[in-house]
Amino acid sequence: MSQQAARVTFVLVSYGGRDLVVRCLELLAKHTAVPHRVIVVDSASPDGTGEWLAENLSGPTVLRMPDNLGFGAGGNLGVAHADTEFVCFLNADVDVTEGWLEPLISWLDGHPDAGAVAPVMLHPDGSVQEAGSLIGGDGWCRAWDEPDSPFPRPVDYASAACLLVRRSAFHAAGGFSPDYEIAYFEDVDLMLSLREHGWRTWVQPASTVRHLRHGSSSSERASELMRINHGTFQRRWPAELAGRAPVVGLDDHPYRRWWLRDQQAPYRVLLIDDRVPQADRGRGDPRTMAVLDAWRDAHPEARVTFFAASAERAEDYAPDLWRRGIEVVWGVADAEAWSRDRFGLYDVIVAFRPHNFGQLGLAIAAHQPQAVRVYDSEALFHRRPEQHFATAADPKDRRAYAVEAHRLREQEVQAFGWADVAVCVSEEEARWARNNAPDTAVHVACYPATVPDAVPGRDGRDGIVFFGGFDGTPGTPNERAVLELADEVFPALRQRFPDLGLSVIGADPSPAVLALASERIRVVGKVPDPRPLLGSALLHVVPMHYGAGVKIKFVDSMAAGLPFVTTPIGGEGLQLGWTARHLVGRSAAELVELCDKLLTDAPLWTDVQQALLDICREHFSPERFRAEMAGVLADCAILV
Amino acid sequence: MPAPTDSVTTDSATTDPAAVGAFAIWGSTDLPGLGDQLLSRVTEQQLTARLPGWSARRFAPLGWTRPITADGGWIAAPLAGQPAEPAVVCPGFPVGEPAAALVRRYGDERAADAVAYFGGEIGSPVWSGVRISERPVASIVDAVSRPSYLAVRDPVSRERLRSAGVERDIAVVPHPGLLVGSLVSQDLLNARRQALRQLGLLPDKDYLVVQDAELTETAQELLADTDTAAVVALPTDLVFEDRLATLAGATVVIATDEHGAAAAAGLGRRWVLLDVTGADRPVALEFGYAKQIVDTPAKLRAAVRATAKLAPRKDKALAAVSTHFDRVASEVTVHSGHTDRPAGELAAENAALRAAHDRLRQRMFVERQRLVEPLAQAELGQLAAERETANVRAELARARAELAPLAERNRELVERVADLDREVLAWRSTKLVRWTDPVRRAYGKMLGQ
Repeated sequence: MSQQAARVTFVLVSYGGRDLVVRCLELLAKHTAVPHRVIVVDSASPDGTGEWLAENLSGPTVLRMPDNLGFGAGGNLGVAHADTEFVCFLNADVDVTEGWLEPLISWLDGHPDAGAVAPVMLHPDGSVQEAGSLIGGDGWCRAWDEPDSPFPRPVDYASAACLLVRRSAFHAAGGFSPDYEIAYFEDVDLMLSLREHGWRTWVQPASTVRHLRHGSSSSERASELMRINHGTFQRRWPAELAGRAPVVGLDDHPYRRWWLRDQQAPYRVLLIDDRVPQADRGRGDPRTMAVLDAWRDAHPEARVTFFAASAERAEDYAPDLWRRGIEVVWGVADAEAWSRDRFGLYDVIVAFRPHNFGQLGLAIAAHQPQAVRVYDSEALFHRRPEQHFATAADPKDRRAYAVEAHRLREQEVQAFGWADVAVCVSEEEARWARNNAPDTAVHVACYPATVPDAVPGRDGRDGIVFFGGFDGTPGTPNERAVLELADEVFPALRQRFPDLGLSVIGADPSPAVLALASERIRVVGKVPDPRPLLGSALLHVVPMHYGAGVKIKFVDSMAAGLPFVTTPIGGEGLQLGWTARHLVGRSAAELVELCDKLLTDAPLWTDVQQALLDICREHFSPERFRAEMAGVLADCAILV
Repeated sequence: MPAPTDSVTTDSATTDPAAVGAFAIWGSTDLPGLGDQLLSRVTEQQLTARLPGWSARRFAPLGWTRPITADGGWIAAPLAGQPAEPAVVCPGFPVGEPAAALVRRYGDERAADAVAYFGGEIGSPVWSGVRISERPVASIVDAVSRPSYLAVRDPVSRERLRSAGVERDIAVVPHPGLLVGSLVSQDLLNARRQALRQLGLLPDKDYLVVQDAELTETAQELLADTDTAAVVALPTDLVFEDRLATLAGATVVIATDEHGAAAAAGLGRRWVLLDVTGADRPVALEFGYAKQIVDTPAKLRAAVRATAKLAPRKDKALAAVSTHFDRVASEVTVHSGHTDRPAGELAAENAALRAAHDRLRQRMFVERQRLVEPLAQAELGQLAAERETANVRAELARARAELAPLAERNRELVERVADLDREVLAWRSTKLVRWTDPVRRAYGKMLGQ
């Protein structure tokens, strides 16, 4: 092992348990690929462990204390002999596992304010033993052993049984305090000292180890030590403990667990939407993801909780959110009981879309009376049945659409009125909201799209595309649109451009969409990144007659430099300016003429492309979206 | 020359994306000497305090390729490549040394490359309270002439530059390590001292510190004069914070170099400097008295006695060093192109507002818990009552279910009795019974009933 390249020094403090130490070191060597050093400090083991280790261990440095001064003193001595960037305290009864260290080092490398990071400790049976711990106002601690918390988060305290610490932070915080007896609370004290000096302690669930918990003191002696050190801890940190709920009695007051878990978070926000965002599948989810990102990025230590109404593909998409430190909740049968369990926890509640407001937002908010309420409309949903009402021929259908539109309109008026802060995707929809909820602060925050530095011009582009998710079900607005494109627009274009091809891009195509596949129509389905396809097409054509809000597909199209042809409903909120007369048509015949012109008039195509890129940069840039969301957060009293 | 490497992060600020600006410190923290650690640490702390939102990157000749315990984890990157940010030069050793001297100092041929940085061949760094080597390399003359501010820490260094042809103003500033008190809090020093005592590295009683272990025996003779019980030799490989803690607890410090003297003075300790070569005397005179500086061990006793009556000169020296760092900070902002002072001011204001906002939110959260607790308790109580009511109702339903057969039997019996009653009534209403009633009554009387 190259000492020069070592970044970590492992510090093991032993008191007896020779076999355990040897086993621990064997596992450490087996599962630790990162160059490292090992220092074993023996705290005057009465059974000769120290002597044996000194004589028989060839790799590690063995330091022997003349008296049993305990874990804190042993840890201080070990670190005093370390010369690496990080030190890792490791108990002999901890079994490290394959690849356990890299996520911890990576976390400290990526988070300059992090002074320490711990893995999740598991029981031998694989259940969670400790994912960080709570410190109560009574000075006692409680391990956080919830199985559904696999996201990195700052914690009050993480056991030094396995803890990676920045060596400079350890010294800046003064190391383990010598005020404590030989065991218990010295590591709790270290975490508070670290925080007092500006360093945070995190738990990173991407790393797990097994903790066997072999104590080296008798239970009577352990209780005595714990009692003494608990008193010392209380004396040393009175102000820190003053504002906290006690740990004793937590089981009778479940909400206090959440208060303690999130005590140090600068703010706690709950976002409620249909499902765990599937940003690569459309249906408004890319925007939900962008909003979620804005809340996450505002502060790395904020508690951001996403509540998914449906469990649809949650297990596939939640891990990405967990990695970003977002708590994800799904499969809750009783939202009111769930919220009651977290009574008074959240600073902000964001409900997306009217049905989530009605079915979840109200019930959850009932137990969060303190929270700022945000309604994010995503679109004005009542407009869709209104559009169907306008086009439906059957009086029975018309009546059903009218009833549905009325119900949704009432619900949306209620949602905007309920909210302290509301968000719309276009200024037109915001005006409607302000008229109906004059006491609510209504913001506009649409969707961010990045225009690449180099956007391909017209040369080399070929064919037309349709882009939109289909949800695997018949009758969606996108299905109707692509069927109209295939049946009415595309054949007419083929007569004028016999070689023209059509690509249908979008997740979960319905049976009717799949049936379109032919020699000239390619049903691509879901792609990981639509930009290459959008960047290689000549036109994006969407004859949509039902929909509300800004259609994200067109913003993506703009960012890819791909002109699109659509209907007035499709063009809503896109700030198209003069380009609208070349891009928006009311009937299939008009759409054919617009497509024809753009396909044949190269200078016009180029002018439109440039104008769309400019519009995208001005109205739909990430900077613009960040500024818009900063306004939303500021209205919720959150600093960005 | 390879580009500066970041394979080891050098501090908490290096990857801070929110930094207003960045500066580099070219020091010698890859050497274990007290001054090697002290000067870089103080310089970084003083500049980041004056430049809110700025990040510091530490560099040293060999950097992290030469790991040492003494740096306490404040690891520097190796000096290599063209610097990207304005640099401040503050090594513990004199600048302008030839390569051979640096190689000797480090015991490593690779250190020769660093002469380009400390000899003025690379970049336009700010020279912050440096010492100049006896015969500085020629390139340094031009290098120290470029920045608008140049400070050395002793008049001899100034004369050496003058002799080498430097004609510009050269400020002489007391040893920057005098500001050591701003690095570590007194509480933390006390705690570290307690921990060192626990490990047996410091005695439980009062002690006198010698910077050089060879003076331990000599210092035994000074114990009576200082009313001290023990002599402690300052370990050379001890972590920087622990060395400061050791110094801060000493009754008297017998320093053997300028850095030990400056640290002791900065920590408010009585100190004496044994300077057998006379090289450190000019530096120490900037913050101490001639009586405190001796050239032979035999003179230590008199010097130690003299220190008991000397009024510290620290305050004036501290003010001068503080002003010096104001100038250095100003130079750094000019070198970085951040001449618009508001950036720093805005960063400071932003930090203050965020701190206030954070405190406010914390208070709100605690306050909220107090307000919500009764609501939550009431709701839990209500839920418990509802559960109790539901239990009672269930019990009632169970009892009713158990009683149902009896009730049914009762109903049947009642109906049967009613039927019998109706039958008796009907029988009584028959003509036979009604008409024979007088006869039956008379017959009864006859029988005497």
